[in-house]
Amino acid sequence: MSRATLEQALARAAALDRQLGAFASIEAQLALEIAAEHERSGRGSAELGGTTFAVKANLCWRGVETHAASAVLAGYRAPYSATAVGRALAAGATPVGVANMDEFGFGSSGENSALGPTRNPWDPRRSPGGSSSGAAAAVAAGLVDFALGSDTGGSVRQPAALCGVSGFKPSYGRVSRYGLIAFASSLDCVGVLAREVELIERALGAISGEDAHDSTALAQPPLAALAPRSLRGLRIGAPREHFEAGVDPRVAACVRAALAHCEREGAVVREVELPHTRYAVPCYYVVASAEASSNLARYDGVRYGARVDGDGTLQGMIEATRSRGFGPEARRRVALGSFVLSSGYYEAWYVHALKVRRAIARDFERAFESVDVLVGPTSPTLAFELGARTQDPLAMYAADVLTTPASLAGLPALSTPCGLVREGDVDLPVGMQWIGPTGADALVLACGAAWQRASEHHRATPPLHAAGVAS
Amino acid sequence: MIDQALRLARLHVPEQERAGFARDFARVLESFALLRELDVSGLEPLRTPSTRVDSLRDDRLEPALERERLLEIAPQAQDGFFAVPKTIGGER
Repeated sequence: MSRATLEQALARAAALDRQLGAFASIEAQLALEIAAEHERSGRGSAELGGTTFAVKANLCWRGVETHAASAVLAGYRAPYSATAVGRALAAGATPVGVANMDEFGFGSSGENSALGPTRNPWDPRRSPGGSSSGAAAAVAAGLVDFALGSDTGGSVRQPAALCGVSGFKPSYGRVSRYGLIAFASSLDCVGVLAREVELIERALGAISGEDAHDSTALAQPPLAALAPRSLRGLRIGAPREHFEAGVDPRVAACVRAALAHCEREGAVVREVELPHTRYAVPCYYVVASAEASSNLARYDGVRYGARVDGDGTLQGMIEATRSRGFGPEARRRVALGSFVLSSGYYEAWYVHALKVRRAIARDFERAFESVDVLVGPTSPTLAFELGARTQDPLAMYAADVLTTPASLAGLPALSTPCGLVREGDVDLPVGMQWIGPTGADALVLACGAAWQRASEHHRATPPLHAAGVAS
Repeated sequence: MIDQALRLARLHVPEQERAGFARDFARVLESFALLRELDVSGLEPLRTPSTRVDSLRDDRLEPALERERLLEIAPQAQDGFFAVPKTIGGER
């Protein structure tokens, strides 16, 4: 990529981001230096050469402020880069900036950010979804080619759906979590967002695989292996529960139309059942909050991040640092997690939820005995207005009803655009979610790529887009 | 119950936010109670979706992050160590 091209892209991103708030910071100088180094070293012609990307604010990027949108990490400059970030750089991609998010990943709207909300490029009065809010908005608005995000219960897929781009959560263990600021270690996955699934495939190929810094990151077969190139003969299961209660009928209709399109392309669609779907949200919030309360114990004002002195004692300093540093949702999750893990409640809440998690995973195993992939809506609703759910945690958690099941089971899942719905004076995107058996990342991505060859929905661009900005 | 959870979490909620915090905390817990209706007997807890044995690296010393770099980002450091408020006599 030429310096002039990158300078123009950076200028457009800075101009448009004043309306979007997708970036916590645009690292223009560093981006230009990295791009120049890519050209010198020949990395510019590697598999991600010529592409730009955004880094979600919970992925460490050496020397850059990596705060996970939390006041408790204000000023923290990562002393090392996350494996995913380092591998994307090594593959020739140029990072443009740090993407805004819900604090530590706690949210489904982007509003739980110490930096303020990100706006949806399709309608700036609305949320882009979350927690990878800035990553999705930046890709949708054409500010970057792809973004690295993280998905614990839907944080890549749901914002991808609400912003009209593609977002992939790999199988648990495909991408190293080293340098990902931990939220819930048995659920956290580094994921990728881009307009085209083909670029997600390339980026994922570059960042995945074994890592000496993360024992759960496993060697994986190459993505291209075993991947079908069309939808012909593909056995698709449509989970009945994913089209039922709580799902906006316009969203359900849009995904059903996409399934009919898949049938015309030669896929065989049949209804399947995932009977424990209704338990996924409470199950997820027990397990994820428990793990979060443990992971966030590290923010004590001693080793990094902010410190608030409090009453001058060690305990007082720790309590003041945490109480001032965590936003309301982080406080709620950490308190809930501490409660479900506490003596007397551990078996009844936490272990019980882990058994429900097993039941949810078994639903998928049974479904995959008769189908290759599952397809349903990614989000039960269209993008909602900013402020609409901030006063009601249960309404916010309900946004995760269709994405948490695959997270609990560790399965690969992809959201791709499948149409627009007119609401008032705006068009809003709908996403369809492809879920595959564990390890079948290549299959899921191949399905998404085949869908994009057979359809045009991913080409729709929002009103706020870099192509319309003079540089 | 809430006080106990906050104490374990080393958190303090300001007085003016306490009622709202307690209300939301109770509502969320109540929503979790849906899980109770499910008979989970015979199901093993699923603690991690990882299906394979973790991969381990060779056990040998390698350079890690430098002490100076880590102390640079600490809120307070002294003589090559993290510095914290006095701990003796400061207990509550």
